[in-house]
Amino acid sequence: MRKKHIDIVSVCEMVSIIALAVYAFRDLPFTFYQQDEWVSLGLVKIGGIGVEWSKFPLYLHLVGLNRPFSTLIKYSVFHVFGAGVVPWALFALFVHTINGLLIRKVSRLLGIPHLLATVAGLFYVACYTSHQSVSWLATSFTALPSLFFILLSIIFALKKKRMWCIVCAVISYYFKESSIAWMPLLPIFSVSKQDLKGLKDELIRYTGLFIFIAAIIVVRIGEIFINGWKSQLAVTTLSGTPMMGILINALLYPLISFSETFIPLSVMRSVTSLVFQSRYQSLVQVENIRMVQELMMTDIVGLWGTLLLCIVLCIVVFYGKKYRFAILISSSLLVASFIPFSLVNRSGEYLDSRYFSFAAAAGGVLIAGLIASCIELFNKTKKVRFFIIISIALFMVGYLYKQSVFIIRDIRHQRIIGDERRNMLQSIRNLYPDLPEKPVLYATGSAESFYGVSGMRLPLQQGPGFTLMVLFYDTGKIPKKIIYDMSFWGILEQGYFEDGSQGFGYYHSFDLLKKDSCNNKFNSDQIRGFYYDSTDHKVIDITNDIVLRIGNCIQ
Amino acid sequence: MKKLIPFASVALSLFAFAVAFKDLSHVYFLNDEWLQMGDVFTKGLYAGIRSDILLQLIGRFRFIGSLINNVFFYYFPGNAMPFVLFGYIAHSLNIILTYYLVKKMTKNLLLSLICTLSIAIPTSGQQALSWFSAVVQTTVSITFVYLAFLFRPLTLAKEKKIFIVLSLFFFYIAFLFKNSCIFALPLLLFFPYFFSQNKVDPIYFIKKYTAFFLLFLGFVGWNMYLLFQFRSISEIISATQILIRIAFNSIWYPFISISHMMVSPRSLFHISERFGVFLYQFLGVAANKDILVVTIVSDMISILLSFLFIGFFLFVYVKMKHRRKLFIFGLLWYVLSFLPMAMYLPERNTAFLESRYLYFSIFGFGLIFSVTVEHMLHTLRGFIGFKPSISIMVVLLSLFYWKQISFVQRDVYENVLYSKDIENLISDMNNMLPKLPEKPIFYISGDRNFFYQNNMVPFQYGTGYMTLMAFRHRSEIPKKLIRDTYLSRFLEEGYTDFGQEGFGYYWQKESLCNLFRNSSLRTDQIIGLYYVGNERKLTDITDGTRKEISLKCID
Repeated sequence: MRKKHIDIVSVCEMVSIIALAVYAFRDLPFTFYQQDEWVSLGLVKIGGIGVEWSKFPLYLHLVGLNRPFSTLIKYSVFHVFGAGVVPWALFALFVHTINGLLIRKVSRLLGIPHLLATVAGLFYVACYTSHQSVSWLATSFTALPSLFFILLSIIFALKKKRMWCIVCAVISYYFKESSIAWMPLLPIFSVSKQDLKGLKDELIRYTGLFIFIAAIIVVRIGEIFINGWKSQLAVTTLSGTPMMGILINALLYPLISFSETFIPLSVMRSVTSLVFQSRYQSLVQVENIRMVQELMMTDIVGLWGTLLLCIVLCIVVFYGKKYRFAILISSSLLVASFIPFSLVNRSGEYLDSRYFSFAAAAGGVLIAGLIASCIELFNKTKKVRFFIIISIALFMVGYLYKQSVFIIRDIRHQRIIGDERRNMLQSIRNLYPDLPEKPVLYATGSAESFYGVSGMRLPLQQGPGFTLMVLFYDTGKIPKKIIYDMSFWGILEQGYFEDGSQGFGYYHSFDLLKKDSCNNKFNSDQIRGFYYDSTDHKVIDITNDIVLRIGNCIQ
Repeated sequence: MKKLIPFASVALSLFAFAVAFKDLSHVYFLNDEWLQMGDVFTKGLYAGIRSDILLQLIGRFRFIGSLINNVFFYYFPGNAMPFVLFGYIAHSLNIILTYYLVKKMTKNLLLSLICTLSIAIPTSGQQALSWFSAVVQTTVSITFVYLAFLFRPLTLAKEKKIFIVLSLFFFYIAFLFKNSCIFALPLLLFFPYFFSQNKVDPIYFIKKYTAFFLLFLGFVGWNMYLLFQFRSISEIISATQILIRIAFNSIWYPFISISHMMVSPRSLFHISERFGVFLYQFLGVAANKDILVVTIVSDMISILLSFLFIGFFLFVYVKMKHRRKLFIFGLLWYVLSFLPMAMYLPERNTAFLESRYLYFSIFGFGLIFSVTVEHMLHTLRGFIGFKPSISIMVVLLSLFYWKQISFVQRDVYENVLYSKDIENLISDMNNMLPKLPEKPIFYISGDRNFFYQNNMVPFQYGTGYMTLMAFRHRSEIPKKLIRDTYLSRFLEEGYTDFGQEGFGYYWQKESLCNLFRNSSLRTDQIIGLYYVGNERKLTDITDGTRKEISLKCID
């Protein structure tokens, strides 16, 4: 009887995780491709998986460059369900939810009570800081499955099925390289949780895993020595050697991002401005206050947050024995998850949101462990314990609700942008059912800039030329090779390319279009022009007008 | 042999102190000293000492310290030597007392030596010696605090009333020298609790010394009252804010200053600059880079360093079970010593607190540091045996203290350079102008800024006041203006005339011109001086200035 009762409870708990995930990400299927998705889409159209794999030599695939497994699964989804947004979104949401359940499982296996293990899963599914790993469809084929497999391998490690553990870890690596940071910690899961006895033996049993890690690192570093840092890293070279920058990042990112995992960006912003105004009164007048406040103060507040968390951790770990292992291992995972990203530079206050997916998983377990330990500490005094439980419960409900509201708001915003993009592209497609041979597209619009890029008159985050090529690919007039070379991918790229009997051109500057046309790069009857009215969201055909204006030079 | 070690330790510390402060005798008066010198010059020996005895006796005005300063200024006019000697003697005394105090507390020669060395080379508190405004009050105050602790009997059983009375008497003297040493009173009362052989109930102390604790609380409360003195609702609100600020600062200051205990500001700023430019690309080109580096970025580095130190100390605390009470005592001393600063120092100019305030805190930090060194020695001995570990530690500590000494030397030398500029400029002025006109009006210009925009001479006080002080013995200079601290703020200018006497100082030619346009002053009152900043050379431009003024400004 009792067993059945528990089963119902755990089913309810699992349903609550699924429900929260669906609630927070409910608008996801209605969004639209944001940016990198267009590359995949283009490559799919010109030839499928073979094309993408041919971009790199085999040995680089073997060390995980270009994430072969995620490519594979991406094309499988395309193949089976077509290239719409909905299957992508559903896939992302599905894996995300499964991950939430796995985190609950991991927490259970680490000895955390089932209710709090559910909190761990809930925290992960509704973590605002990491939400981009789900809501940005391009990353949902890398980070999410990678996390799925590494969580599986943790579960296998906890159950001492070492072979399966290693296999899953390796699979996870081929989905996203950053999972390598968690691998060295896997053997710890297999040892006794009280005193870490037998760690040496376990390390020996996991030799295969360490050989894999070592091989990967050697090849990747060797690759850097052979081909240079150029495409591998985004670390600035301002400081001279990138090595120095990586070291600083490797030290700083874990310290700052540790607490940022738990603090949604908008909350952080208000805290930051408060702190800045009260602590640095003499600096409030400086002219670059926005930069100072956003970048420097966020880091300082992040450091403070981490410091506070560390103090709490120390106290809890010092006094509470029961959940010590869970807390320590999850904070190690949390710290380790940021190390791979020391290779990239931040573009905003936080690291890019999608890099937090692993951190959110570890953070969920950490929160669950901390709460469990706090309650354990007050086990003796019933009244205090009751009060503590009530206040933590209220806080967690509010916290999770607020986080999911932030996510909903963000995705709704994406949805509005996505609708605009979808409508615009659909109108353009409808405007020209067919294109001339070697088409040259000219686009202009009423907006001066989009997303802070001046001269960008269409609501797109990537090169409109590339987008239009993919959009019109099924007319049969677009040369494959130009898509393959990713021409026009840069946000302001324009020009005209030919490949054999085919050609394609895209311009947003009329002067350049006219100049190239006058230089006889192409004829005026190849040109198709449109105007995007960003207030009424309408696309207007201006081909005749353009041809007329260019006509002068030809005469 | 055993008897020789204390002697040798003290001698070593004194030697280190002498090396670190070898340039102290070249330091001259910098800024606030001139104000007090002027005060004594015009008002006599008892200048600035209030007559209300009651307030004096409850420590409001530090009258003993002021009196000693006045004696130095009165009997050795314009001579910094008494201050130098006083600093040397008082600090040497402090070193000796520290050694015997720590020996009394721990009965351990190593701890005594390390803590004494930290006191002897006060990297963070060097200003207490090298700035003559502070030297008398700060150093002697702590001398008496040490005496109070030395006389306090450690065991309760053999308690002798006379020692307790003496101890409290010394503490009271220390209090009269500098009232901020009051923070040590609770520690003094609890002293046997920390270091007595038999266990004592802390409640016992509170009961026994209720009167003193009440006195302490009363004093703190009274100072709080003086700080607020609210009369309306809005003042109560701002008082709450102040209270929050005090609470925050009393944790924040000790935390951030841990990293400042062993680093000189200049080195930290240097690291911060490189770090900041790497981390925040906008900083490299920002016009306000310097101020951002010394405030926010330095704060960040300090937080990081403090993090490291605290982590390490925590480790030591956990490991060194038999030294925990000493550790706590040091920590309390260190944290409590920041209480006066938390109350009276709302904002810091840079990441660093004023160096002279930290002179008290070093003792607490020294205790913690010495336990850390002991722990390191223990650990090393476990690995490589007694003699090799000793020799390694000696090498490490020598390197460490050598670095500390060089930090102090550089900071002191900086003051030497600043004060030499002032001293030379004053003597140059006197040599250049053996005779002043009646009611002189100085026009002083130059080609370089010192400290502030348009401050063309290396004075650290208003140039007008400093000129008055430079010529204070001349009969043409009105003493009344010195008494009124006329033109003592930076960039202040003006002219005052009362019957027989008058004085003026200008750095802007237009203001000088306006003065002459509207009055019947004679141009031969003008003295023009020009300071070539980089060569530190003074030139006489009296004739040119007089001609220019009479041509341009007098019709």
